Amino acid sequence: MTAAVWWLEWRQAIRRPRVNLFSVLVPLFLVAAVALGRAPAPHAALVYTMLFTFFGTFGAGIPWARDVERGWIHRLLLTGIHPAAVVLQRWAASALLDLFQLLPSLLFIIVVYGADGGAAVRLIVGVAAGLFVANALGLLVASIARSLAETALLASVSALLLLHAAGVFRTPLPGSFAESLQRFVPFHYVHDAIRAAVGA
Amino acid sequence: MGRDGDAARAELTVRARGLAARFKGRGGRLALDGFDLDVAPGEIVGLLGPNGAGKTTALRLLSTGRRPSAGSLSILGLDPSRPRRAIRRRTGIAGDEPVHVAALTGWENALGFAMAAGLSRAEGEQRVGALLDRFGLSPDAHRPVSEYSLGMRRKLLLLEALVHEPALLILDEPTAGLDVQARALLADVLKERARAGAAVVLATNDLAEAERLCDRVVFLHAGRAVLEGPPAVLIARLGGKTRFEFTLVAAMAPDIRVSGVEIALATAGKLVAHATNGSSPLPALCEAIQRAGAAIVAVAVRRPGLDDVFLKATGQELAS
Repeated sequence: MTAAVWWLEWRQAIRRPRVNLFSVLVPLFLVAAVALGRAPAPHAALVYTMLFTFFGTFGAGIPWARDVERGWIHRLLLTGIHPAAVVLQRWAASALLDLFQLLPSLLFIIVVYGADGGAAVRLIVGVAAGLFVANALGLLVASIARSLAETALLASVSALLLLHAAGVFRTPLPGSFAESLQRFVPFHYVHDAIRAAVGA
Repeated sequence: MGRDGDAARAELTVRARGLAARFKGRGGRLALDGFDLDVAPGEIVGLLGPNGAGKTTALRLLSTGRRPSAGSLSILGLDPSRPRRAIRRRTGIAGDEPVHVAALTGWENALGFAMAAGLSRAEGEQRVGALLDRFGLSPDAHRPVSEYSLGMRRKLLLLEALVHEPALLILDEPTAGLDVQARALLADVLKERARAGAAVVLATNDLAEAERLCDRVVFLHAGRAVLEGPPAVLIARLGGKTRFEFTLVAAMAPDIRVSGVEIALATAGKLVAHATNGSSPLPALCEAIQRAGAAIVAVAVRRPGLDDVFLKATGQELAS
């Protein structure tokens, strides 16, 4: 399998320092505002989970929809590259890039909330896994949607539904169907890791 | 057709029979309707026709970017309705839109395509370097494509189509946006690839370019191939007469007769003549005019071209 798409994605990331800087600073400012604003820990955890999920979903979905719209993906596929290679390489590169861009925010959370070593590692690993899932969700909705606007709408709705099913917005009754369901939603574990890091 | 016919069919790079495709949208009208095409290795075939005739749709079907709604198609001996990667790996495509990653340099875009087309990075770097040199893009190779002119982006697109030395080249308006030198270079490159055995199918509105470049042209009209053949043969058969228009200074309309020439208009200031045998009567015409006591100020010769052929074949002007 040729790594052309992986290579192109990383070259693009290197060539766009301004976009990278914004992608680092915007979540960092949001995290700092919540963390330094002394928001209650459960509320802060909810905001961080939503922020990181949307970061991954939109970060993968919108560029993919844009590249489909302008014919870039079609051009790549006409070279004979395997469609799965395009999706997988793009997914892996996008999720890893998101993680690098969010690392300052995660470190900020670890420092400000004084998370211990175990919670810190769990936070980084949990968010990394969550970003892979969120990126996959973004690519999925972008491949279903027919425009950028539709992608944004579908990404928001599907991410919110999954966050709801993950038990991010409310605590389900013990033994209920909702409690059973949340165990199957990956964002549940991301939220748990974030709650542990912020002491919620 | 016997075994020879089967062998000839198997050797064709493109064999299309009765292809049909509709424009997108429910109830869309037929963009192609019963389109037939054979392209042999080493042949350069031009698809010509007015806008909406089906040229781009035909190229999309040949590039496996779209499936036909009817008809049969064989490309490089393979069936494009099966997994298309084997065909795509051996096909180079330059569409009418030069789509690139604007933030990346020309070198990065081209190398990315070379790798996507299956070349190793080392092989890709070597071929991209050589083609960037050939297309005169080396000085700008490490500038972002966002800073490229349209002509440069089109050159890059063509370079990307050529980088893996495909057996079939599919080009939509390949000379659009190119300067005279780049057009000449492209013609050289395509002829080289054809000599190496690659088949080239291109769609163009540039009839002069098609006449110079193509071994054979196919005229499309309302989704069908209405006429095909080598440009010179079509022009000789259907192009009509060569027109000579002289601007004169004379006391009166010259009365001249030249064998094989029909005088359409003769006044003291202008003489228009038509000939069926190309430009060859020009010296005799000049001599006859001067003998008749007129001075020639200017002469314009208009040879019949592919546009005349299309007009004759369809009764319609070939508007680009």
